[in-house]
Amino acid sequence: MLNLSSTLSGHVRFLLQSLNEANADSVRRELSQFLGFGIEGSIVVLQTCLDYLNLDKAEADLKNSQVEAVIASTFRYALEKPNSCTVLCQSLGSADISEDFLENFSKVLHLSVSEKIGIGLALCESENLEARTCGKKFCVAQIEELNASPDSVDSYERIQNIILFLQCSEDLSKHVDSFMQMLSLVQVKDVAQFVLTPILSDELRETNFLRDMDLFHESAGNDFDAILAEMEKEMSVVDIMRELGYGCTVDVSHCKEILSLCLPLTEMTIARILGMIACTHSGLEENSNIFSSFSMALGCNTSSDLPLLSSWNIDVLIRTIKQLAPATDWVRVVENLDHEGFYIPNEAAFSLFMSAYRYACQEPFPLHAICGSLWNNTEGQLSFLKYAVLSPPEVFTFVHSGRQLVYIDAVHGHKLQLEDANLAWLCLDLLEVLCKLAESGHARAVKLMLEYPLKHCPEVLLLGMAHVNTSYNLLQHDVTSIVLPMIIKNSVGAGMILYLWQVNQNLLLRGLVELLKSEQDNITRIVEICLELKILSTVLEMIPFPSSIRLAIIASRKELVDLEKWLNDNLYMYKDIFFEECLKFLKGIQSGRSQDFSAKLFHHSSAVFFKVLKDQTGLISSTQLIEEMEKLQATIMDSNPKLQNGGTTESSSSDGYGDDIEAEANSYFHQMFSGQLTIDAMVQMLARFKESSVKREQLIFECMIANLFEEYRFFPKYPDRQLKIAAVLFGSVIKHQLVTHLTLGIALRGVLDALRKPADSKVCIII
Amino acid sequence: MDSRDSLSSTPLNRDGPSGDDDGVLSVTAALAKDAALYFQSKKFAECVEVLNQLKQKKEDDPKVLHNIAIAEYFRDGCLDPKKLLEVLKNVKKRSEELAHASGEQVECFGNVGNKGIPGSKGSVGLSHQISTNSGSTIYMDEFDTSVATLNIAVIWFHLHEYAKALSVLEPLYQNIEPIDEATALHACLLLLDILLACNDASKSADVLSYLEKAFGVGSVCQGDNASMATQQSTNLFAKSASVPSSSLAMDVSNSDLAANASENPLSRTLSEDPLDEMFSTLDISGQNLSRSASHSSAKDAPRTLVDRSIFGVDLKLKLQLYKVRFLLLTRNLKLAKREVKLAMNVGRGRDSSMALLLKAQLEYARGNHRKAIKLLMASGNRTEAGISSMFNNNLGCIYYQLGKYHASAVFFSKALGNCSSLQKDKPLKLLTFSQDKSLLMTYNCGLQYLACGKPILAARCFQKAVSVFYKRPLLWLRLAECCLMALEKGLIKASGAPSDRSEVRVNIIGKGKWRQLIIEDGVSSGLVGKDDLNFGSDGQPKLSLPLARQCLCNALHLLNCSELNNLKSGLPASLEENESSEVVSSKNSNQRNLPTIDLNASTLFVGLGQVNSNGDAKVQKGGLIQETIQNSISYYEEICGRENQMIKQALLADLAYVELELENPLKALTVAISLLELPDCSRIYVFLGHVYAAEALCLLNKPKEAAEHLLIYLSADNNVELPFGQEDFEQWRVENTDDCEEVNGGSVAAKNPPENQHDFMFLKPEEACGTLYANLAAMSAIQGELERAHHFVMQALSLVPNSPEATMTAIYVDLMHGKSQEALAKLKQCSHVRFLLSSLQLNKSS
Repeated sequence: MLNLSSTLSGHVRFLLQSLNEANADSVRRELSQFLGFGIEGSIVVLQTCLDYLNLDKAEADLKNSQVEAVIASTFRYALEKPNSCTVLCQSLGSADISEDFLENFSKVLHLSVSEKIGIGLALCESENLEARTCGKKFCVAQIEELNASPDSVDSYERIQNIILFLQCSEDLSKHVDSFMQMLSLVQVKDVAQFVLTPILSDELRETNFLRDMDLFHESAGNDFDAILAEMEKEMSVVDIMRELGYGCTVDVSHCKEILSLCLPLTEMTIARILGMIACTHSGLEENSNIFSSFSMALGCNTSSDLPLLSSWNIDVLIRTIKQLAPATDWVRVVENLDHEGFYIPNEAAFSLFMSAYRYACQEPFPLHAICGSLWNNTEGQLSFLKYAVLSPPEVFTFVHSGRQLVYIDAVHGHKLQLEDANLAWLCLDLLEVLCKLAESGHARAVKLMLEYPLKHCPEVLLLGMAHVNTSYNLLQHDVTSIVLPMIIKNSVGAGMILYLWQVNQNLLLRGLVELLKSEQDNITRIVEICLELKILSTVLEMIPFPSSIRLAIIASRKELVDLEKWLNDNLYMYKDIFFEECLKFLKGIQSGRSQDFSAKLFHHSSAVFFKVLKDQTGLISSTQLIEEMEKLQATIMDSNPKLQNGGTTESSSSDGYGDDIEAEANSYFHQMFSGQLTIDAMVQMLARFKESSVKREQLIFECMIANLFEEYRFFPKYPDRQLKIAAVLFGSVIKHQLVTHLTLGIALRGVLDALRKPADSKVCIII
Repeated sequence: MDSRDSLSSTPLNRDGPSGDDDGVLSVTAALAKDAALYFQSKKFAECVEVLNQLKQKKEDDPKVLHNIAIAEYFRDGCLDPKKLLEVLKNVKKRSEELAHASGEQVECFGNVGNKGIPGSKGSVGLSHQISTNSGSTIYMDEFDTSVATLNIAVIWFHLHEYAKALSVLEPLYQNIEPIDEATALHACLLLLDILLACNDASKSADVLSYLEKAFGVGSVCQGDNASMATQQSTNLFAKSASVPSSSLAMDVSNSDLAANASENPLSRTLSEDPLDEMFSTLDISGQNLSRSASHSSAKDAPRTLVDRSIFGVDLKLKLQLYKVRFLLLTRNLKLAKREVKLAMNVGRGRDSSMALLLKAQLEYARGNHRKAIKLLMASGNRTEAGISSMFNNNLGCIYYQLGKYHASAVFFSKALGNCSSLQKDKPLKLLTFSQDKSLLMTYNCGLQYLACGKPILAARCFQKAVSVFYKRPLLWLRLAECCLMALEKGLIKASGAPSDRSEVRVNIIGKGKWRQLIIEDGVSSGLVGKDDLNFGSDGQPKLSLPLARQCLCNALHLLNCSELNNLKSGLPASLEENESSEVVSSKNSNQRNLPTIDLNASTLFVGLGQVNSNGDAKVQKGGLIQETIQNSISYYEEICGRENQMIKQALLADLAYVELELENPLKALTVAISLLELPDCSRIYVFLGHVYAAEALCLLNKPKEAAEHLLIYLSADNNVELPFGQEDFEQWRVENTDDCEEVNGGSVAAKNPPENQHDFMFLKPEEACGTLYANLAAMSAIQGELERAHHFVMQALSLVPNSPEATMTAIYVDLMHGKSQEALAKLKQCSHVRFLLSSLQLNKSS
């Protein structure tokens, strides 16, 4: 706020200073525009103007009549606004208010009497007592002046304020009469006179009344007719039916009486009736009295003992409608469902609605009307779709939809139990409208609707969604992040990925990027699939650097990509930007934020990174980045001496195993975490390795145990499933006495640590 | 009730002339007699002729002028009431001048020549004026202005200008003693009608008791007498009975009811609509004109005052009905039920439509709507436009009361349709005016449309009704409510603030990883210029917040005035007591020992009691009734006081809100504080007062003081207690219906469930609590206490998960904490967020 006021006042001062004949109008416009910025803006502007005026007065000779004119019109503009009271009081608040000041002020600004009264009235509301009394006095003086020489008054609102002001205190009420007299002489342009009626004096009111009386029956006749016509237009047969209850459909003749209340029966009305009966299919108070006395009062012959209905009689209703409006176009009726108040509360309502439709019209339901576009009443649309998608095909089906997902190739043979369904999820229009609904405030509700397809046909859903583009793609991304991991793991997933790649690359890439942040297995699988589809290099090019770096590393492990060359190429191309991303990646590794086993893998590639980065410093313009790189390298080297030799360390020192050993050890873990290897098998294998005579197997064993313990500190970040696996493994290792001595100590310490922590922390699961 | 009718029909007769010298006298007397005869037989043209001859003889006699004016008026078919009004005023002025000039000269002249007993209706009260003349020679001041005054009042009454009529008539009433009996009776009846129309309980009780004393017809309770009298009268008045003097009191009450429905419980107040009586009047008068010929027998009644008993029975019935209306007005339903039964007995064999209507109104007030409908249907033929419009209006009121607003719209529009066909009867006659209840009905329509959520049409209706109800604060409140509803529905825009806060608009800018979300902050740049006048070119009110403010100011002003008046006139004017006691004694010869002393001492009602007490056995009973009436007045005043309090709370809360919307926090603060200072303010409104005050203070840059208003609701452990409970709503509801409940226990409550609608308009207690949390969160966030803000906003979201304000505060807090992902997740969860492709183009520098 402080910023606003200082900037604004500076700007206003500047405008005033630079004022000249040429720009007077534009300055005036700009100032009044500032007054539109809420009270804060208005107060600042007026204060600044006031200050400027005072300053200006000091050098009276230099007075610029233009400035005065502009300021005057700004003040006038502020006075006209409904919040003039607050704005004026606050902006005059700092000034020393006296009657002289006000007199002067209004003289300078050439304010009319009525405007002066406005200022006085505004001041009467001030928080400052002095300003209040001064405003009051000023006001009284001006009103006296007004009475003495009638002048025009701006508006009835001002008149009202004046009268109320005068009447509110005893000592002023003597002015009321003369003011009233003055009023009878003054013509006000405004038409809002009726507001004054209660506060006028009796005489004035009588004159007005008699004057109006002549007009009354001349013009008022038409006026009344206008209101009457309006009333008839507003009469809503739908609401009347709702109020009168099920009795309206007791038989065709009664139903006709009611429906005839507002003829003609348009498609819109019929749509409203259908919508209303659907949501009131039960639960209306069962009181036939109301209906029978209503129709009696209307003068219809009604026997008072009508049968009591417990719901609408659709048969009667539709027959009546057909009699009254035989030419009804039922498609248009459905198109008119988008009206305020349409809402399907539950399944019974939906089937009632559909049976009414079927009763009325044999044609298939016009799908375009419900999912062709977003309705105005989105809530109503959503409620309809919610039950439509769940309906059995005999109630509602999407089978005749024009835009259907052609899925056979992509999901060939994949279990799609759509035979008994209504094919809702193949309807692209439906998906599109759902995506739009999600982005117009119904995300939560739409996601609930998607639970069923996510469970039963997730792939179909994703493939369908891929066809839809909306402004935010909120729903598509959600679905992708749920379904894509499933597809990746699926053996026939590649076909679907290809389909997605062809239909919507952005969506697929976004999903992949998200996957790349997770488990390494996924990354490996992604690499495989990309390779299979021959899109690896394109994908690497298209995804953001943090993800592409990771992907490149994994791919390089499989020797599908030459990491060094890839890094070099990108450095050439993107220079500083890529350099920075690499540094970020390295920092991330170093701080151990990568949460999974692949961290280790990445760790080992850091040497390559440093090598390339160092080689290419010539391309980098920012020395800061280079320094940072060097610093980083130093820390990483310190903590991890095996990297010192540029990544070629093969020594089997206690804390460093050969890359191949490490890789193999990791691959076992991966197999285990991905479920390909059971824990029992793992334990047996470890036992075998431990006792193995092959040195390499012993090394692998050691490496795996070390890794396991090292991972201990990351356990709190593990996802639940992996954590459980790790926990069992941890326990089994101890149980099978695979660890001894020193390492056993470490293991037990870990367990003890875990016990000491609060029971709800994740690590407890280990035990 | 028909007193006024008389007016219409009546031509008043000031009688003729009273010449001083016999010669002239005889001539003039003969002429006057002729004129009266002509008048009676509705030969107005001839009457005017005779009168003009008379005028030549008696130049300048105001009475003659008066009679000419009346006769001409009738001759021309009752056109142009305005002109008649002018003439009458002149006559009155002239009389006064003459009276002044001639000093105290009094003429005891039998006005033999009275002319007109015009076609008044059969009903006793008929044409007051007429009776005047005919009056069995009561002494008359030649320059007496009472008849002219009465006629002026009648005209105003028919024009629905009650305040005006009252101001004319009251001086007459205060000096009623010297006026001749018939005129006085008419004046009293008219006054009673006006007072009932104005809902002035205590004054109407006053007049009622005076009437009983002065024209007192023993208490109705006296079965034997009454029945005898009834029989007699039956014969005599058979014809008159046909005049349906139905006063559809119903409407009135309906409107009140209607009021309930709309949010505020203020409904009662609405009851104002004087419609009821009006209706009744109308019909009557209409008939008079057409049938007056047949009523000749009836006319005699006034003349033959001699025949007390006859005069008595009809008057008795009339008074009885007035009593019922009075009791209905004061909502003493128990007593009203008994009295209406008595009225049915008294009126046995006579036209009972009026009594039936009152009974219907009674059942309506008790909540037995179905019974009310039946009574209404039984109450008379509906072929005439005037009556059928009342009938439809009454049904509309009942359906409104049942909560069937749209069904009631059917009847209201039929009712107005009937009126409109009446209006087409050009040229305009006074009768048309008086029969035209359309203005009153439009008020009911307005309420109904307000309840249906159609503020613009409702405002049009209310605006029409202004010309009748401009003195009622409630009308102005309703108009303001129309504006507020229109604002809420987005039909109009607030001046400064963004009008649509119901959704959060999120703009998406850029693509791919450069994609950004921008939330519109709603600072409007739209200028509200001068063109935003309150009125459209067609003179229809354009709903706007400034208009709402004006209406609310009017309402507050009116309310304050009435409070002031109540204070000043704490004691009901007891002017007439002395006179009345005398009158009573002179007129009610059969009533013995009137303890005048008592009269003076006690209130007006003594008269009533006394009257009842003539049967010795009934003394006690009489006393009881008197007490009950006194009770019902004080009970009624209490209700009115409470209702005014309720209106005031609603007014102040609305006004504070409007000022906030207009960005006028200074005023909003003053108003909110005066709301908080109201004694016995409902907890709901106290809550609103605090919240509004806090917001105003925030806008004035005083967050600390604002916090104080909110912290009131914060308990020690940083939790908010419910600012008000369900029971606070109950309170409003009970107040609405309590009188009914007195009458028949719980059944009423059971029957009115649809009224609950107004609950919707208020926040539920939990929502209010959530709002408070959201406000506290915003406040803490402004002051930089993010942790606290986080705590509050989470509470707020759990109570009002869909509130955009709470969501936005939560997002702000998250962003300040740097948790942009959480903020994004909240955005996605919130159900009022709309993602839009931005239309903004960012330039590179940004």
